[in-house]
Amino acid sequence: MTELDPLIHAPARLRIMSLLAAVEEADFAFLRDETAVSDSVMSKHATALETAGYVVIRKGHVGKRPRTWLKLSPKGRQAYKDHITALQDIVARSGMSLTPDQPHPRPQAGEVRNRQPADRHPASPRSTG
Amino acid sequence: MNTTPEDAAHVTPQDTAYITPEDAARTLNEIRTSQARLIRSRPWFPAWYTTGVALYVTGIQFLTEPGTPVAATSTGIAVLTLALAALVLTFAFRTRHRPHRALVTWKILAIFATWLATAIALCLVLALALSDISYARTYAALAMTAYMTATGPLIARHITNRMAATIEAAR
Repeated sequence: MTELDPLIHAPARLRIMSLLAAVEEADFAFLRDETAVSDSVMSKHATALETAGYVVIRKGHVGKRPRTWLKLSPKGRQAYKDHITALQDIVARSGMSLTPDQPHPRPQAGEVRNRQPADRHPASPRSTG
Repeated sequence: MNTTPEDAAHVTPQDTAYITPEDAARTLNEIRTSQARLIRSRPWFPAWYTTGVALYVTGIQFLTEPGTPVAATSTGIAVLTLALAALVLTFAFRTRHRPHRALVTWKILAIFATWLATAIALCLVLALALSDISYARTYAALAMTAYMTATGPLIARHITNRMAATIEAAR
């Protein structure tokens, strides 16, 4: 069974990865705006993902303006797929539906809703090389 | 490496990577929604690109009309080919956020190929029908250009809508 990847588990990083998964490549400013983070935070996320080998960063110019583009590497795409599979497994095992028009089952009286040990999916350490 | 109390104090839920089913479901829905929105935000191909290619074909038809001086034909074709190369390079390097190739399924290609075949068929039929007049092929190619300019954006939008629907269906 695939497990959650701690490197892309943070919401901002997962958002960056998911946007990059949908396109061939995306520019830095677009990802920063979509993720609603500052330049420096976006830069840190991009560097961390690049260091892990999940993202390839390309620098260039559009006219005289310097631009940076990011794209998922094959390793990053696989890591993203695995992470999504892990999320789907968590949902599937809970018996919940991902279809928006089907309401999620509410916990029964006395049922502990959040952070049950069975719901926790500690991530295994992964190579980031 | 030993973990100091200071380090432990900075451990966040993100570091330990756990999630409840409710949060996992919400995360997956948000991912699909944002991906679909991104794909829908732009047509699969820009209309100027297909119109440019159609104009190139029109120009070639015009320049190869019987009776055109050889110098004009060769110079014109060279200029048009350079323009086409510039168009292709612009398309390749300036098109932003092109949907990932995994989304380009055979159904998507079939839709695009059908549209393209329709345009080519229109051009051929018109060229044959107008064969009695001068520049028949040029007029036919112009009609094809007009058809592609008018319908290209609709097809491109339809394709991205299908791609977005595929993403949403993966829920």
